[in-house]
Amino acid sequence: MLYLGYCRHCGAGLLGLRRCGQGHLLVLCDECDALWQTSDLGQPPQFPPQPDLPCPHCGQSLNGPTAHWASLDEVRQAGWNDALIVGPGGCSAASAT
Amino acid sequence: MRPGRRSVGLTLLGFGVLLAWLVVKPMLPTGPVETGQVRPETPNAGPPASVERPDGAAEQAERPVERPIDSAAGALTELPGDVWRSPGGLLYGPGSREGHRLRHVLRHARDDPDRPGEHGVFDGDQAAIVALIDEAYARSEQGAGRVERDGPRSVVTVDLQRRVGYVGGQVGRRQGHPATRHVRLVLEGRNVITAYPLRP
Repeated sequence: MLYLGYCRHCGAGLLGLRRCGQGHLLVLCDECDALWQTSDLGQPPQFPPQPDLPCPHCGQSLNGPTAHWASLDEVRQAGWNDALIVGPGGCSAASAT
Repeated sequence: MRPGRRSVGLTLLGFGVLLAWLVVKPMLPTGPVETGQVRPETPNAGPPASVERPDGAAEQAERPVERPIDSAAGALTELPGDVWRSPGGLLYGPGSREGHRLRHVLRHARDDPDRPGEHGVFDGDQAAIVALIDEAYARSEQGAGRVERDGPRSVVTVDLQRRVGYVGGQVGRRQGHPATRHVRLVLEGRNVITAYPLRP
């Protein structure tokens, strides 16, 4: 899972890059489901309704069968700054490719 | 054989077959039975269910195929909608990538040594973990610990004044798995979003 850092809301979760079934990219804490719509983590998180976690853009569940943790290619396609991203093992996913 | 005797013979044969079927039927394997119970999670019982794939398409592997709850472990009570209530009144329902909040919490029943950062690991099995979470909740209701509110959420951190687990993950491994005595709960009302031991 690619992630941007640690969740300041719960203090334990990794902020993963979640892609909904419609291709919208979001930041989602894998521990507490706090959500950010952009990589600007200075904004307060949102807490989408449980248990489906509807995507704020299209309403598709972020826990649905077509939602998944985004790959680096998907992050790049979405135009996000992949220099911010950390991959498994703590390395920079961008520099690891 | 005369027709009358043949008829009696066939009748007896039919009874014999029926009797044999009734005896053998209970011994035959049956299909899946929906009991609402599966074996409890066993700490340190092997690798996690999900496998990271470079294309990020690991969702099917992440999703549980069985119901997550062992109602006997932790004396959980089933409510409609696959929601389970602990003796302390906390609710565990569907949600998370694990498919159910109890299964999500039980990620903290075992170490995840490759997970970046800290990964709190509870001592004990499902029953002990549910009881610890209930205890932390009860103490916070009595004014102990710290409660931070953020919209619908409450993040509760309580010092249970004794060892409740240890720090795992990459940081825990580097530090020799120090003990923890605090429990953090993330709640929406009485609904458990997650819970884990930590060093605040």
